[in-house]
Amino acid sequence: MTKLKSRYGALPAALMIATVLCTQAGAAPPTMVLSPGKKLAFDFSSSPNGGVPAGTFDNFAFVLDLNRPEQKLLIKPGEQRQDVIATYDYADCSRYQESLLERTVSGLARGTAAFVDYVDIEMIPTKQKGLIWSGGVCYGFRTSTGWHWNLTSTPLTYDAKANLVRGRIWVKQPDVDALKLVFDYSVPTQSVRSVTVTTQPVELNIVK
Amino acid sequence: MRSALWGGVILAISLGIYVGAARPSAGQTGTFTGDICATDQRSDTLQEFAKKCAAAVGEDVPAFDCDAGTEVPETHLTGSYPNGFCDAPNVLNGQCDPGSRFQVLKETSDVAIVGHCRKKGNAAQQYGDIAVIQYNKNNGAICFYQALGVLPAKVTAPSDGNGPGKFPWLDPAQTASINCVGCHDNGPFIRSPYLAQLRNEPKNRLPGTNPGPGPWDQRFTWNQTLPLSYVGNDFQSWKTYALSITGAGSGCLACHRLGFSQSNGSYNVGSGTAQRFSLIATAMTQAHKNPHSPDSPIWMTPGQITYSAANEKEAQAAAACASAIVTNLNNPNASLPPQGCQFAQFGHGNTCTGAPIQGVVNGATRSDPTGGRVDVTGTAGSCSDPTKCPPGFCYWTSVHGPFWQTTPFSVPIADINYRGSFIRIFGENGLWKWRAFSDTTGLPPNAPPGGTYECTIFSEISAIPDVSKCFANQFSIIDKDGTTSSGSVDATVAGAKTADILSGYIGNIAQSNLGVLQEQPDTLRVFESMSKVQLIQLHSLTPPSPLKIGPLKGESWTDGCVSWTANYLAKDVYTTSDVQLLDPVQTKNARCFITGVTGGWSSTRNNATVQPYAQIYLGASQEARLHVSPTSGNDRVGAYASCIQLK
Repeated sequence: MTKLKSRYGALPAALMIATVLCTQAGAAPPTMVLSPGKKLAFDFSSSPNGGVPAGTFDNFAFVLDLNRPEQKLLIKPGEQRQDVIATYDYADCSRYQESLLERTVSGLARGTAAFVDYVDIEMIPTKQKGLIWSGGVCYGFRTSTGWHWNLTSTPLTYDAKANLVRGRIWVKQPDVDALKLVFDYSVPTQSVRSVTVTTQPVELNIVK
Repeated sequence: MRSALWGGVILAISLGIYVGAARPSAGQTGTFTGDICATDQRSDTLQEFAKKCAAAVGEDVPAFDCDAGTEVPETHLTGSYPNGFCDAPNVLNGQCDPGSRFQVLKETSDVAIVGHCRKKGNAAQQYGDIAVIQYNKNNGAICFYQALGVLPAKVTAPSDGNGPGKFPWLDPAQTASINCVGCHDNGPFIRSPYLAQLRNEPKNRLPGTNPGPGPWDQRFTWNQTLPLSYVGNDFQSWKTYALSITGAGSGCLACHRLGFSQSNGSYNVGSGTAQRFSLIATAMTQAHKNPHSPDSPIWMTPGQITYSAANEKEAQAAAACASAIVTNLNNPNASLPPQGCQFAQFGHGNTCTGAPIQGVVNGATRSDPTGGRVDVTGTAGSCSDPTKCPPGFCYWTSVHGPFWQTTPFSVPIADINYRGSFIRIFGENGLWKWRAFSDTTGLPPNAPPGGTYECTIFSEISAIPDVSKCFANQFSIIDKDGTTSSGSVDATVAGAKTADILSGYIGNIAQSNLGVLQEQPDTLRVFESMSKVQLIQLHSLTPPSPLKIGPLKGESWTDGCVSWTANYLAKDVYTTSDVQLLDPVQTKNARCFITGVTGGWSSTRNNATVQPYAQIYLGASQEARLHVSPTSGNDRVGAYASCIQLK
């Protein structure tokens, strides 16, 4: 909580001055621009097959640690660590799967709570030519009140230039200390090479 | 006018009624079993579930050792788990999973219990996914058990429970949330080359597959006619449906069902044999499978080696049909499935009660405008469970127009010059049947009428002393040229307190909201008054232009049993918008049906794409309600409905 207050205090004074000036001049309403928060980069490329398995019921969860903005992690399929858990859940982005998704993440350690803005995912595409698939990724996030789920999937898209499958999910939630990425059953198992979590300074209205 | 349907129970069983074959129509047409399934019960413990399953299936699941199973071959394997390629990867994950083992735990003439231990990269004597299916092919009783994680090879019987220190079977509620029915929707087991390659195993051959040379699949029976009946409190919401296709997409159905499913009140989108596996089975490429070759033949069709564009096209048509049906069932405002694309329910929870039949004819509340003649007839008698056949009486729970007729009464329906529309439920040779008709030849396209029919067996209804002494009498009221502004027929069956159904809506049954009396809309209804059942019609002789008076015919059935008094929970409730018929508690144990209609049932809006309808439906609190549309304008409509109590 101390950190949150210090961030509030760190808001540039210029912003507030500009607001006053703009109002007096009758210009358009000011837009408050928050400075970008920390990016937390998870590099799984040293794992077997170049990443964490994801798709057809393979999902994984990880802890946010603002003190470790860049982490290089070697994760084996099904590996249960305190900071990353790769699980075969028999569950995907369908309704009523919350209990299955949550069942496997009880061993995650506590992380550092942050306002998570969005998450970028990079997957190594299947090498199988001619395999046609579609599907996306959804997520769960852990706060001080437990796990919360948004099982509406966001499509994954193929970036031909980089030869990667990419996805970006917008979380926009405060007080998040862990995330779980859940993949549609229709996504064939592929390896997630990296995940980048973009955080933001905490929104003003949650600072007490 | 009166005809009767007596003794239908005995006759129909002796005839062995099965599927009322519905022909192509302009709207969603399919058959449900009209279940009322208890989905709000307390979850079973594993031991409670195992006990129910043993009773329903007839055999218990034993303890077993995964390592004693037959290892599923991963021939010509390249690469490592989970990204390797092989000749016959599993379909569940699209993976080659070396070290996985399959075994038949019990097999009798009726029962098959199988266990599959998926290795999922675990060490010796450990597995990552252990599942059991327990099935009785005579009564369809089926149970699913699941364990996940790093699991020991030695598995205890589910009947031993799953507490601390015991094998970590998931609780039934968690297994149910896996939604097994999303894939297992055409029969008990998914049969693919992955397990079919065990065809020559003396013990651990997948039930439903053949040993020796020739096609590996036992076709025409397995996953074609086998029943499914889901056991356990947590599985009662599961339902399965088989596609019925005329034309493109029907090829697959000659050998096996293609299914789709429902769970927790919604139809499963994009999964199952029709929507997903049909495409995988016929595609040029399958996930983590070596290219199609004699060592790695394509999944479908059995015996075929390589890709067939014709087969894939059939599968794509079937998948499109299923997808359209599911989309429309989940959202009635979505586009209707194409003509010839229909379905019939065949699986449900084993404690579901309710009418054995519920069907949709030309869409529940609307159909697509079409030209020419649309004439569909079906038998309301698709009885997978002989103890529930045949239904006692049938009725409409939704109807949609338009109902009209421009040719004189003297022109019979069979005449090619007949122009008009109707829906009706009728008895024929001891069977209940339905028919929906529209002929707009030479006229602008119009929407064929339709609705939802339902049938209830007498044995489900409260206080019937002897179901063999039940009857159903038909009455009709006719105005041959529309010049008789009001009329009634005595539809009473002496000495009986009956359930009275408005069953036939033929021709110009109701067109106007300005009838013979001020503010009295045109009306066709059946109701009881002064201990008499009356089938009445009344209508304006000067309907608003361009409507004209013309022939009309209404039909009703008076249904009852000797020494039985129908217990009405709601009687002739009328609405011109939306009304509650029953509270949620009453709704669970009742049947509701439409008994009358009023207003502008000949009219449509927006080039016939919007049609008048009345629909009995479940409200947000699971209460029975009656809704009509449109609710304003000169073409507004109204409807009556009644509800009787079940046991």
